[in-house]
Amino acid sequence: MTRVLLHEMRRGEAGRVALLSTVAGVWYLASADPATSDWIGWWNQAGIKVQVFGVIVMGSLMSAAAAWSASRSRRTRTALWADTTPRGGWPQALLLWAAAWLWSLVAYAVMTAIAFGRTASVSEVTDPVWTPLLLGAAMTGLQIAAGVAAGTLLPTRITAPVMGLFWYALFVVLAFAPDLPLAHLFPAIDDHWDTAFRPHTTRLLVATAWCAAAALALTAVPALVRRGVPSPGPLAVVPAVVALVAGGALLTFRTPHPDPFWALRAEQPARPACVTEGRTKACLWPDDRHLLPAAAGAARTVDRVLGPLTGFHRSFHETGLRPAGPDSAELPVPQPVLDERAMTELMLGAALPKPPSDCEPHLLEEAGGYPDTFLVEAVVHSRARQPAPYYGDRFAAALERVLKAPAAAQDAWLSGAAREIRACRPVPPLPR
Amino acid sequence: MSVGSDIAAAGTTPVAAVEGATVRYKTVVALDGVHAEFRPGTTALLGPNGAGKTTLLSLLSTARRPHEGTVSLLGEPVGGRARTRRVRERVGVLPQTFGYYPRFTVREFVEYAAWLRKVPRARRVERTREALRLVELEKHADRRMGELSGGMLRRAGIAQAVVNEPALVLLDEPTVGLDPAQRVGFRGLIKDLGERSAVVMSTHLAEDVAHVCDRVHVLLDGRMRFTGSLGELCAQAPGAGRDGTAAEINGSTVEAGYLAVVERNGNEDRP
Repeated sequence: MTRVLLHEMRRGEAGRVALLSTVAGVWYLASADPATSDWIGWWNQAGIKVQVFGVIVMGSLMSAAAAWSASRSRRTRTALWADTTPRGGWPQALLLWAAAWLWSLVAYAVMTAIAFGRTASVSEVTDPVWTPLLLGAAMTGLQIAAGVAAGTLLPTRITAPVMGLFWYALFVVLAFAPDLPLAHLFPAIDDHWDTAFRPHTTRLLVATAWCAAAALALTAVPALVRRGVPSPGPLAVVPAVVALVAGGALLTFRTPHPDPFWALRAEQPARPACVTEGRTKACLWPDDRHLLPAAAGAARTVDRVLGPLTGFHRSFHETGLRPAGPDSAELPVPQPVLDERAMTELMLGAALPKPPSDCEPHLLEEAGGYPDTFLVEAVVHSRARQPAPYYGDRFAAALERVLKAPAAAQDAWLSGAAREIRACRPVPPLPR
Repeated sequence: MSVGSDIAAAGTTPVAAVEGATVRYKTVVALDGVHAEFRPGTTALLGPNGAGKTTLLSLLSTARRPHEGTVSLLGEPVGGRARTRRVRERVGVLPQTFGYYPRFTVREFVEYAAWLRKVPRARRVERTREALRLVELEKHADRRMGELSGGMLRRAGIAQAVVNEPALVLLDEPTVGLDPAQRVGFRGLIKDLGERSAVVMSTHLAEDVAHVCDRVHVLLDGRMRFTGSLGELCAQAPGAGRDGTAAEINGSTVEAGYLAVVERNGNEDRP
């Protein structure tokens, strides 16, 4: 079959569509800006990015191409003699499926290389995740199989574009209703897995088995319906049974809200990546150790800004990490590339005292009626020479009044304010 | 051409046989209790449009099963998945409208047909080369199918039909659309095939029958109205010797014999 498969790959439409998908994918992945990207630098996210693009864009296009190829026997009237041959309808469908799928794998590999290459240029660890990619490859196979089945059974010129649109529309619908069980059977993992998560290998492999088995079973369907071609033998039952079992398992898996279906919380690292500047300490996930220089600079600034203040957090742990102590504050890291300024802003935000969760805000008349926590935040940011938000003239005047106060008075007011905020009480009167 | 040679060419063991085959398309009876045997050599299926020629070919190719009656190929009745597959490995088909994939080269396309016809993998390349040599397309093997002329396409169609060394070759109107020179060349090719396999050729063209075939079946309104050698068909014409031995066999005498069969059976259509 190898030579015939190569002929099919060389002459069929799938190769050209795969090339188009590759160009689009390369542009999509190569044009992303690391400064704003949510994936360049995180292996999890890089894998998901390729999976999502591969399934939603490339899979839809390749499904359409497969439908077009499968309908050609009617278009070119080859069925008149091909349906009198001893080769069964299942191998004929598998030939078309394999040709399109192999092309899609080539495109997928190129996209993976780019995504991982860009991530490797940022990250200081090499930890590519493969299971989401494996699932993406299998899901693309399922989409192509659906295209082959549709093109064989409904060999019209409109079947191919309809198949492409069908898959795209399905993923759009599932994106708006991710809790639908159907979403588990047609996975486009549009999640955000930062370093606190790791792939749920079992589920991803079960889903891969479902997609692969369903793809094989689907390619056997036209041969059951087509008159003239030899029908599949009992072997076709095997993928159908595997698909039923794996698909059924996917529908029964449950995940506590709001955890993602396809990921688990990562195990705590034996040694987080930490920096200490003065009395300020920040710990990151080991995978984020490329952020340590920015974290060190930010910790220096925070340590200087907070100086002798009390009631503010001076120990930080990245989201998902176990707190280093009772006063450690969660440090959210929204993207894998952050400069020192952005990290400082995040760390200052994390350093602020937090009122109890059931505490109503205390509105400060002198600050224009805004919550007093806003003024504390503005003062802290201004001490770090970070831009403070503008909430009107009265708020600006209040801020100016605190900042112009002698250092000792300012420190005393801030420490007192932190204490009151934590106790859910109004901040002390502004310093004179 | 003399009359004696056609009878001598016909073999004795039937490669294919239909017994009382009836096929209906909804209310239309396409074949009505047809009996026919096909032996090594080239057999023509003559008849007007709608007579049931293509339906009979579809029975022989196993693409269709009769509603009544039986079809036997290569000594065993057709039916059952495994047996149908086995029989199909020894049958080659060239439909009236030959479909092909224009982007494939001739060699790739015939190799694809060899795969469909289950030629063993080890022999596929060799059989492809042999089939292309038989139809004299070796020099054009690397041209795309979409670039071929009508005559070359027909030759490529024959190549895909014989790539599996079939015992039975079914050709539906194989010379339709060819210019006179191409048709003459094609006749020689079909005659060669008849020396290797049992060839069943449906046609309207009496001239082709006269030059290529050993035996003739005439179908009218789904019924087999004549079965015999070419000489016996020619002898049906008014004024011909009843034993056929004195008749010249050419397009005119074949047509005259055919028309006599048609008129005798009350059908005015011409081939």
